[in-house]
Amino acid sequence: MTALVRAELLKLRTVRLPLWLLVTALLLTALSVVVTVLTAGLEGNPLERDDPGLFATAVSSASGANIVVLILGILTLTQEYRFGTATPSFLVTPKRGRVVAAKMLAIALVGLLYALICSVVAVGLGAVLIPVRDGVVSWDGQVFEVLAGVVLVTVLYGPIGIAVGALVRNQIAAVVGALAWMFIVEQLVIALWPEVGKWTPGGASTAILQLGDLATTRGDLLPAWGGVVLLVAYAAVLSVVGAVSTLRRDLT
Amino acid sequence: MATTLLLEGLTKRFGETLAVDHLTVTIQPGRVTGFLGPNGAGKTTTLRMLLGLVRPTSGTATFDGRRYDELTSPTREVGTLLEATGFHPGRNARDHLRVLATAAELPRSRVEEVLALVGLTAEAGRKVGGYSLGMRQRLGLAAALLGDPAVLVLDEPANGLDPQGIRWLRSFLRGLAREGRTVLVSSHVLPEVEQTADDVVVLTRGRLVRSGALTDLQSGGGTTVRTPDLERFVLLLAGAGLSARRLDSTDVLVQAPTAQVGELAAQHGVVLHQLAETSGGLEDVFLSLTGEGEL
Repeated sequence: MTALVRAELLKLRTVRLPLWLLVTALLLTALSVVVTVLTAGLEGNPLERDDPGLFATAVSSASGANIVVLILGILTLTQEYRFGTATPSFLVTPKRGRVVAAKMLAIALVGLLYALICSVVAVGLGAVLIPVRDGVVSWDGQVFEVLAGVVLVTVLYGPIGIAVGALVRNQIAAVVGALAWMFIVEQLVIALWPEVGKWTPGGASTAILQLGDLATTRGDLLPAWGGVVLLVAYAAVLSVVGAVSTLRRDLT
Repeated sequence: MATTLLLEGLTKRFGETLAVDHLTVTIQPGRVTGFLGPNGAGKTTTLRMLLGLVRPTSGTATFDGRRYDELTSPTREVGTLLEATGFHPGRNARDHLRVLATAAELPRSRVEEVLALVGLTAEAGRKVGGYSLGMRQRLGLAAALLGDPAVLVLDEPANGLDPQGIRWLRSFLRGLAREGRTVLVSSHVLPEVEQTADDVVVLTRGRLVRSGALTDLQSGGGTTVRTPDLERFVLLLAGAGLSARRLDSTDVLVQAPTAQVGELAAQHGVVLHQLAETSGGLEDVFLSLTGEGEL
């Protein structure tokens, strides 16, 4: 299994895509930090400049890396079919479940790396920008909880992406579908029916980040541990379904 | 080293289409076996079933009794080159092989060895997206050889190779078979197979029409005849002093001009379904077997 994970990591290292997606994740993070800090204290924003939660909220911007890792996960699998590399992969390892599992472990490691890099950038940028806007940088426990949440969410979204790719297989459909789900469906459901929305992966992620009503007015969320359990459950179920569907299909 | 491939009743149905129909054949080690058939005959589906990529509807395909997914180290036991095998266009050739070697737990030095073997060392740092078809074929062959396997399964390996490449491939495959390996090569380029193969397996519409030594299939010039009344016609041929050899239950190859054979049949009222001149090359035999003008 170690050899397979190493092979999957080598696949990721020998193409450009993961690097470009890391740059994208960093830009998303930076943009989100800037917007959070600049809009604090404006009318209608519950977040004040001297709010002790401002720094934690800014740091939570790094969780945007989860979308990028999700897309990397989807592409990692769909490109194997698009470029026909699934054939050599399954010839070297005929037990296809092992290939899918190795991909999930590899992408989890990449997700960890993305999360750490984005967290460092979010912390650094927040610590610099907040004082500039006369705000307060408070290194309280919440910041560390948010950082742990960022890592957890980002690590889990990679395997979910692999599973989505395994189920959908069509690259464009999978990416567009995932983005529409995260940016439109979940946002709407969470805003309009919070009691349903809290059970979506997005709701679980928000719960894990423990920002509660500090960041949003979305209403009630699961407790952080509930979010962790729910997101892990989503990742596990999708992984099994994705792996099984890959296992059974003929590769013609 | 010597591994025997055994296909037993191998069948694949895609919806209404019977792509491969109860194919039973043995592929011997130490020989190059040509796997022939017109396009759509089921060759690629057969190879993909053999390699565990396509699940057979029924029947089995085994390497010394083990299915492909039961092999302990498939890359070390079976080398494969399939037509639809792909490469990530943004990855260079060396990295492509390194990925496979890593997954198969082969030493990295093997990558350089196979690159040298197929003559790609100088180009190994280039992205595969910029490779010609011939270079991709060489890279595919390098991947097949990574594990120094006892069995090679190659789907149309001559595709895209230039004449020098084809000559190189021919002697290369013969060399591999001489070392005791089992070499199964599908092709629609008949002259190519004629010069390389020891045995041939001929498939038409998913059915096996002939398997055996290539020399048994080749013959001198003559006439191939298809008749529902083969038993009587063979006796008549013998009575007329003509040398004839049965090809299967309906076909016979006669060492005589078409006119003479046709007249003999007419004199005795034998119904003929086919009367064709053959130069005795594999191509003619092949066409008479498959009953198709195009490969």
